[in-house]
Amino acid sequence: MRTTYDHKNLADHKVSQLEADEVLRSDVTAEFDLPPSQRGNERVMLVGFTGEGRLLELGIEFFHDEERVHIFHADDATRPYRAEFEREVKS
Amino acid sequence: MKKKASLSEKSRQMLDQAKAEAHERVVKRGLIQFRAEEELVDQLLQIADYKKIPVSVLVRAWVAEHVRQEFPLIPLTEIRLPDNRVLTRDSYYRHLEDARYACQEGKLQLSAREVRTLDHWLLDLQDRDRQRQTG
Repeated sequence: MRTTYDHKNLADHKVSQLEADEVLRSDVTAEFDLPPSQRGNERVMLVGFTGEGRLLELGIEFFHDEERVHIFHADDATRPYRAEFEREVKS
Repeated sequence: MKKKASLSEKSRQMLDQAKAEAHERVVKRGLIQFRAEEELVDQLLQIADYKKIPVSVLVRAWVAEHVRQEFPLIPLTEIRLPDNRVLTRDSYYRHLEDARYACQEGKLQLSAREVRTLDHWLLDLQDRDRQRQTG
């Protein structure tokens, strides 16, 4: 299994690969359904904290035939995701 | 966290594996950063200077001490029984209860941490059951 990253997207939003990994590995995350990609692959949005406490949203696309998970988007969580995440944490 | 996306089984497996691999990468990197208030940083630096050691050595020693105390108290994610059955917090209540009774009667040898984990799962299930009944 491989994990790949859209490095340009990460750099544009000042997110390091380590920060993306910190959110990906966390058990304290909320998942949100996303529509499939143009290629027809399943996607999901993962929201969670980095080790330093930055709340990020990670867009993940699944390439079943390549056994690959691609992080196509990483940025500070937008307000709706942040609110939903906080609601989930409190519950 | 409860919020889960409606992924296919294959994607769920891939996500779980990607999470496990990301955990390994973070662990191997061996770096944890955190922010602290100016006053706390100032005090930490002064303590490190007084002890004549780098502040990272000081903080690492303190963290290691707390981890030694706290880690054994954290419940396990699974318990492997001698007959190779694996119990998790999602196992049937009856299976968890059977293991706990067997342990009490001395028919099953589990570590203190495994017993604590079993008790934690059983209490959690009882709580959830009570919540369901009270609506």
